[in-house]
Amino acid sequence: MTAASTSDQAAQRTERDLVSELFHAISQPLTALECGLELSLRRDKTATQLRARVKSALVAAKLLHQRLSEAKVLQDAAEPGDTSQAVALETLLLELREDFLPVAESAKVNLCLMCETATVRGNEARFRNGFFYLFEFLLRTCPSHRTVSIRARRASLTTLEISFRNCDLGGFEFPESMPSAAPPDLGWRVAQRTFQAAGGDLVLTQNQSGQFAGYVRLLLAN
Amino acid sequence: MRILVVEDDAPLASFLSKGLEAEHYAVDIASDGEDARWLACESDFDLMILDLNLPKLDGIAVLQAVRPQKPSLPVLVLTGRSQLEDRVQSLDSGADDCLLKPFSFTELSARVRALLRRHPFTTETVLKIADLELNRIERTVKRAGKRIELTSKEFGLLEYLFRNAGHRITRSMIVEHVWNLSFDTGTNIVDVYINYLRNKIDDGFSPKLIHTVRGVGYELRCPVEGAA
Repeated sequence: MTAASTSDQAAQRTERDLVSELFHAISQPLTALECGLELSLRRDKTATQLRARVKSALVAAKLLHQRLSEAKVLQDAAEPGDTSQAVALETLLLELREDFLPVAESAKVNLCLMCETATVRGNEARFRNGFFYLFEFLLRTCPSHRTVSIRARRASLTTLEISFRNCDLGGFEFPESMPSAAPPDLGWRVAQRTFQAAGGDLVLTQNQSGQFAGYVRLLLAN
Repeated sequence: MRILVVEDDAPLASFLSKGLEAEHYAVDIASDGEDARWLACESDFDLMILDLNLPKLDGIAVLQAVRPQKPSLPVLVLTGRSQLEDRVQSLDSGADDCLLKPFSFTELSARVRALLRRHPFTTETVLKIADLELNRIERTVKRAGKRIELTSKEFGLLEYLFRNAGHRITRSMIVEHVWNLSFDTGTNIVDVYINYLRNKIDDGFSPKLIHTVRGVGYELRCPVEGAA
């Protein structure tokens, strides 16, 4: 009961944060757009000035478009989707690894994946999206000549944990004492909301030298 | 080319109509689902642009009614609904492409051109441009008679470029159609794959076929002969 209540409160807080961030994100381009269009209607403008104003308004409109699209994708990520069929995670992760090998190679990063055969509760298309953005984030933020290591294994009778870290040859252990850090990164946030919507979570810790470690927890299907 | 625009928001319908007419398309407008169904079934259009939220009959119902009678009519769905399932439902109901609102006219225009161009290719097994061949059934690629090995994703990307040969395609279109994602967060995966594809099909061959269109995306074309 208490856990459900805490979960509801967290969900409400997330939604409040999203609305607050959206308001902040759209207020600047919306103001620029409105003011720019108002100024465009003043009669003392030359054709060149008017064109410059319209161009500026277009830039603001495109920024507004971008912000709204980001808000939509975040809102969509918070929906669990159809969860009637269990998801074979090993296949999904191996396919994604193959897709990302060229990206890893071009970033000079080694991408290692080990996965237990397991099925998890959730929606396959949404998990594919979530893991796509997670893999993309991990490779994008990993310094070159390091390894992004991903390992999926049962953490308990009900939970599968997909731990990840980037490391050099010396390795990097998950620093339990460090506070979790949610990076202000759209792809990361889409991934986090996707896994949270399926009853799981995504947590990251990062130190100052760019090393990170974290995990995704998902509910096993059986 | 004649396009049916189905949109109940009058200012947006007017913008779309003016923009498409400026690109030399003939445009008819339907402002509700029943009109759209009737017009699409009774008249010959080369493309339908269909909003999903319509009075009288919603866009999915229009699509389901029109598709059996006009199986070859390309349909571009416009939707303000953001969920992944909405896109899937539209495509499952017979839409050829789906564009999320808000959108820019440039993006819409690129997709219209792609759909109008793509259509004749859909039943062809072997696609060709210059000396590059892609066999959709055998999933093989040859350049100047030499077999080129591609991964599954590289093949999917090249096939998508082929289907739109001679036309610019945006990064968003590639992200949606090849990676099946609804939103481009600015990932460089498209650029990385294009580079890999270039290395395999353009390096050591002439002419170069994959072209970068600055500020837009990419285009597969033969600069000498045009799309074959």
